[in-house]
Amino acid sequence: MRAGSGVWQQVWLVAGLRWRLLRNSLRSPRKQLELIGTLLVTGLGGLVALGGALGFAAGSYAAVRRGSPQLLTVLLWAIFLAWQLLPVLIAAFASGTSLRGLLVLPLRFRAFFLLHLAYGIFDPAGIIALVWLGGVLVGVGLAAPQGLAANALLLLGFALCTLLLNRLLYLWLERLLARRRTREALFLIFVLTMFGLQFVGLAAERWGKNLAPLLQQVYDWTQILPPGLVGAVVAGGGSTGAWLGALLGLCGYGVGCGWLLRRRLLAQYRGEDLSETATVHSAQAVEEKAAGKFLWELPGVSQQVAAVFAKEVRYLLRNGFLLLNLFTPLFFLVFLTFALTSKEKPGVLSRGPDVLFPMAVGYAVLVLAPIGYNSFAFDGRGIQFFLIAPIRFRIVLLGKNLLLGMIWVAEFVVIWLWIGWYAGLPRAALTLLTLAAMAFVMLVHFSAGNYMSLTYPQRFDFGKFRQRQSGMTVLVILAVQLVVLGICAPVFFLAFRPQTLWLAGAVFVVLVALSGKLYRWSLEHCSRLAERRREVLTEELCKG
Amino acid sequence: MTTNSYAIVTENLTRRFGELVAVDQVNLAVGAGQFFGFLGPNGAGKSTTIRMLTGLLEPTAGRIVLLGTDLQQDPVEVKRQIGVVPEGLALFDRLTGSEYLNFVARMYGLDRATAAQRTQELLEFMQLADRPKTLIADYSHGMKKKLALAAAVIHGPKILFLDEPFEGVDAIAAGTLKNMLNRMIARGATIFLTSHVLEIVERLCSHVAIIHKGKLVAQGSIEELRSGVESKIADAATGAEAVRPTGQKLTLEQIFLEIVGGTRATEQELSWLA
Repeated sequence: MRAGSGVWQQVWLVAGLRWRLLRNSLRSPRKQLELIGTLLVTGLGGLVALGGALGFAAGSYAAVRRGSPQLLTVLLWAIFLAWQLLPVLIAAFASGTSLRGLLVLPLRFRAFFLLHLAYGIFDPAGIIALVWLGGVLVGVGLAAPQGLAANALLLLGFALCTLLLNRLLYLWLERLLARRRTREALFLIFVLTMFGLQFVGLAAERWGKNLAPLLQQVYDWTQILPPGLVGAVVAGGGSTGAWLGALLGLCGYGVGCGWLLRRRLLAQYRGEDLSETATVHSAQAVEEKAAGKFLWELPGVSQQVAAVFAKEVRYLLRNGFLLLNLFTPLFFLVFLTFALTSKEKPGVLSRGPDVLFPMAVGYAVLVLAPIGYNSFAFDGRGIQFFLIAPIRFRIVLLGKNLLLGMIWVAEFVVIWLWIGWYAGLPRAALTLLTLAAMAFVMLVHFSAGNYMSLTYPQRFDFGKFRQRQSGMTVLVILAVQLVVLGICAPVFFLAFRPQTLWLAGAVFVVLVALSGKLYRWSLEHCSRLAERRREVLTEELCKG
Repeated sequence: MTTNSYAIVTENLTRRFGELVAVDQVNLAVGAGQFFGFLGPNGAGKSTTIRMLTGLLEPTAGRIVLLGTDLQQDPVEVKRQIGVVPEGLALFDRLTGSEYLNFVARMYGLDRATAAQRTQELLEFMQLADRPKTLIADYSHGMKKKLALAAAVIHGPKILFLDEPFEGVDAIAAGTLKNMLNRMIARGATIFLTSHVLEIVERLCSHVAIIHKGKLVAQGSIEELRSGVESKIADAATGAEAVRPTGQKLTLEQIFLEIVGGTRATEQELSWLA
């Protein structure tokens, strides 16, 4: 890339580079399968996007026809927030490519800036939000064809503001998450926010009447923000002056966000170092009481399994995102029990602990299961040690599964205690059945997860935000979840009837025995598989 | 030397990557207690060979026998007796140095007390003991190399495999590493290392092998290789012109360049740099 190259030429060269990287990566069958998996998952996402677009079109049509700026504002807020929040929620499908690597080339700053915007547009969240915004445009156009051009301009301005803000937030989040201390602070804030958000609905239910004037006030204030500005003019049928005012407001937001984004990107462009190696002081904060503390003994397992287990515990405690994943089910559990056991809302979910307990455990399983599908993600070059150590690979898998299994069991116990305290203890038979169901599901997931960890390993870095899971792995997780749900749900229906409870118990005993056999077989199989796939494991996990 | 006195033996060791034959029927024989240098130009097959010898890569064909045991037949038993510092190092970045060494010691089956004692001794020997709370991710490159070597020797291996141990290491760290390697040799271990720094290899190693385009082109003690090359040069020159001042020994670099046919091309110029 020559220093004299034009901005657009550089952008085009980078686009060509991305295309070649994709094309070259498809040389191996594994990568081809991965692409198929990603395409299938993307197809599902596309259906969601198109379905949403239809809803947004209908909603915005109704808002304009009825002259309801509130409705359109709410729709635009939904798109606005989705564009900002979806990237966090669908990190698994997001692009893992960093543009920082390009800075060794004489890339112009404007090209760097434009490439960042392009990544924001072609990000799954960006595409979904733009499709939804297209739905809004169609709805508005059908309702008021005469003002289509003017409204389209406002919606374009809205999209641009949202895109700039999205990139700005993403870059700031990336910067804050790169440093351990700020990451820990953010983690705490995130947890507290999540916890607090769960009670918003409950608070509204309880103090709803008193909150109404406050909410109206909040709505009035937010009218000066992009969704409010656009919603008021497009659905309110404002004058040319109002239209101009809204456009100027959007321009103001755009310029403000663009200026801040430029500052952030300039810092990167000038060589800002986000690695944790740059912050030795923060590393000193890591606690290590004594070397001897690492020498754990676990009853019933070999010292090698105990060593892997101890290493996994250290890694878990130093990995905020993983911790968050593990504890998320418990936060939602608190919310679910409050929200779904209301005496004023009779229904299936308010029948008490016998229904609530298996459901809560099921929810925890949904969140916990995917973690074991890329077990070596954070090991990086350490994978080489597992391959040169004098052990069979099953030892490594056992150590890793042991920790995850203990977390599953710990969450089971916490859920049982919480439900017991809040809604009364579930019947002993139901508790045992749920435990058996969890054991069955856990062993199936561990078997599949060990296999996928060896077949589709993906390296994750601690300090990086939004890292991509293999498309095929995501697909397999979905499939396994559906299969085990399809097996467990009917058995639980049997369990809820006293006369068939014994049958449900018998079925689960058989299922646990079978899954135990499957797990034992898979450990042996994976041990041999790891021998055969040494090359792939080291190639994938040692790169970078 | 009988077969049993060899620490490392390979028979027709071959590795293909698709059409490319990276290592082609290599027959190595490294005697027990030797400090053995494995040399070759970039892309010659050094790292591929060492990865196969340490069980990180499966050979396409051939046999590897370490300390009399076939690696493919009994990999766990063989791995118990060897130590490895692979290319890129095999460290777990989110552990501290002492946590990592303890972990490695336990994986090699050392008991708690021995693991803790050796960890402490190695950290002090490698001058890493003063930063007990620092994660490996925050170590410098030289510190990582020293830690990787400490991990490779913690269980007292009989063979030590080192892939480019001195690459990117400053003189102080290199001194510590060499000190450790000499101690290993003194206690009877065999060391097999690859390196591009021929001066270090010449100073440390008693025996070398040279691989070029996947084939083993020379093997023996440095003296044997030197006399071989000197007679070859003498034959080629037919006494007409001396290639070096009389009485001066060929360096390992000169031997290496003669064997792999490399030259320091100065006659070839780049048009845009002329």
